[in-house]
Amino acid sequence: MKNNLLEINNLYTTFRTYAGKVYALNNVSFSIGKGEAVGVVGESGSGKSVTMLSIMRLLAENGFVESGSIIFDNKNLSELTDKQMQDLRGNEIGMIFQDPMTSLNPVFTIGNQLVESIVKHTKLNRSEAKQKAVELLKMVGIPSPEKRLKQYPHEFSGGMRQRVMIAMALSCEPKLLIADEPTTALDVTIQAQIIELMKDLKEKLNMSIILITHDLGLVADICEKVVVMYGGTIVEQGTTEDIFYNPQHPYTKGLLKCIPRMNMGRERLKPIEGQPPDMINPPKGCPFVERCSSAMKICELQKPIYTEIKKGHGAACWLHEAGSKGV
Amino acid sequence: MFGYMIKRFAYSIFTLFVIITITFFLMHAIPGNVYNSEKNLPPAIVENIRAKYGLDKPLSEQYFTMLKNTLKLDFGISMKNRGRPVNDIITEHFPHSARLGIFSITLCLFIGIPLGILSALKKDKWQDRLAMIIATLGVSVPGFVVAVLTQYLLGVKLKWFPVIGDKTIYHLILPAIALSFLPISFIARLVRSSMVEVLEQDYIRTARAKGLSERVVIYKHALKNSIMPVVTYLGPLIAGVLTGSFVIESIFNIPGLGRYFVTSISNRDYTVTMGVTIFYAVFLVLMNFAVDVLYTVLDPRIKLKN
Ligand SMILES: Nc1ncnc2c1ncn2[C@@H]1O[C@H](COP(=O)(O)OP(=O)(O)OP(=O)(O)O)[C@@H](O)[C@H]1O
Ligand SMILES: [Mg+2]
Repeated sequence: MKNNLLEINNLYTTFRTYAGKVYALNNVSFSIGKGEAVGVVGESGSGKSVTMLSIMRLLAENGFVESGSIIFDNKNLSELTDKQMQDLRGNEIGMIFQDPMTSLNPVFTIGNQLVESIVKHTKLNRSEAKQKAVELLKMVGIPSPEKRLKQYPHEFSGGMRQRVMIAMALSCEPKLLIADEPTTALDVTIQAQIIELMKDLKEKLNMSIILITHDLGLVADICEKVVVMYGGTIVEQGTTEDIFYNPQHPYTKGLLKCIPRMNMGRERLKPIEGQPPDMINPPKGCPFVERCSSAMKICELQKPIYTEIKKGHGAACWLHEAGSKGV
Repeated sequence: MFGYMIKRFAYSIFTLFVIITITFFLMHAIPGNVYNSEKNLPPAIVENIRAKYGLDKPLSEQYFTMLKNTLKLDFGISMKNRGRPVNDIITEHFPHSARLGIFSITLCLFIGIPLGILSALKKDKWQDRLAMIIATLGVSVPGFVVAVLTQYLLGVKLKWFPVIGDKTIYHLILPAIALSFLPISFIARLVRSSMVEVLEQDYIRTARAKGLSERVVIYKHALKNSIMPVVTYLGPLIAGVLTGSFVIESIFNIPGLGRYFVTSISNRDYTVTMGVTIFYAVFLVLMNFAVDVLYTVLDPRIKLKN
């Protein structure tokens, strides 16, 4: 426990909408050690991004963290003032978003956007920060960085922009990098390059990474731990070996079946039959019950409790509850 | 850029040519003539005057003479104020209009933009509602109504501001309010809606994720993007303030070119009408070009290309 960089306990997040209250996160808990990489997987709408935005306190205006605690580097983030939170964002936690095409401001140069966060979080002046920006661009493999600094986002390709985003997220050497589908918008060869880059930087800077992705191959590639989300909850988590070789939850098993055997390559998760649960009127029991082939009566009636089958590997499923068999 | 300029120039010349032609024939289509207003002149004298100004020649010939003189930037001599060159009239009266115009446009930008930002930041709160009610009023009430109302209330009744003339900045306040009420409202609505949209963009979230303060996020990252529609509106804004000034200058008795222009039409002072029209047309074409250049400066994605 002492070595955990980030610890999320019983997080509940909701959104107020005209249609009603959206229960986006229901009791999410997980942790990340220093220098560790955790993959967060799960289909669209399962709450991956909302979890990260809750950590960063960047939820949309209608989003609220209802309860739970987020401990980062022994600080309780919910107790920080807005100002303290600003000092943390981009400095101790860097974040990369899914779409590099829209994540950079089109009317400022790359240099301007890189330098502003360096100046904000370090004691460097503008020209020193510029020097640092050049080094960062070099580090993420952008050729002729001096020239590139003066250019605008539209003069960069998607892959190059994502490199800029990474450079920006890493500019203050954060302890934690949150990458929300960093490669989804990129083509396969560029994806591979970006991932190599992230692996490389993780080793070099001993930084922790949360990698959100639909791509299990990618997870196997760089993550030590995996968190599987479904319908706003964590249905299973464990080490990468645990999840790949000894999956417990029917949803995890379903996910793994979707990877083609032939090439354990970078395939998108194929959808499992059925629809995700309604998040405004969440099911009383297990969120996966509608689509689960081994559903039992109790699954409809009561939420399964998350239980560990061994240290660090657990699932929220009635199948593992002693005594529930045959109910 | 160079190709664009050439093309733009040719296009402008064509526009000016069309404006001049239409104005010329419309002007001559209005019944009456320059000596209507004067007492019955003996026919011999009328003939003399007509000959002096070339009005006895066929219309087509007059048209080509006018075009030729225009090319030499010679707009002729006023028919009403005998002997005064039109160029002199423009140099004397335009500064009055320009002063009022610049003051009004400054008001438009310095009130309209902050109002729009405030509305967007306080979206759906009372500040926003209030600003938008005023703005809706602003775009639906014509300028001359605002002029007469403010003149009466703030000028005559409360005696806060002088009612006519343009001697000091103080005199300009009421006419400037009348001229800018509509554009202020329009700009406020424009900025509000684009700001609301921009604040939802991914790059704003990126800016926040970098730990920038809310002030920098809004006044640097959001504002420059939200201001673009206002830049596109600058062309019509300048044109609007200019044409609006025709009426407003008359109401507030400001000796500007707009008021002079209106009088010249009712006097059938052909040379003045033509000269001022050409002057304003060229002015607007130049302004629109300046706005286009400004746009490319603010938004690097836009390149002036053919
Ligand atoms: N601003 C919002 N207002 C209302 N509901 C929201 C809002 N943002 C997210 N949600 C809801 O929260 C739930 C989780 O969304 P989230 O974006 O975390 O999904 P995700 O797992 O990141 O999916 P994806 O893989 O598509 O990115 C969804 O049901 C979504 O509709
Ligand atoms: Mg997401």
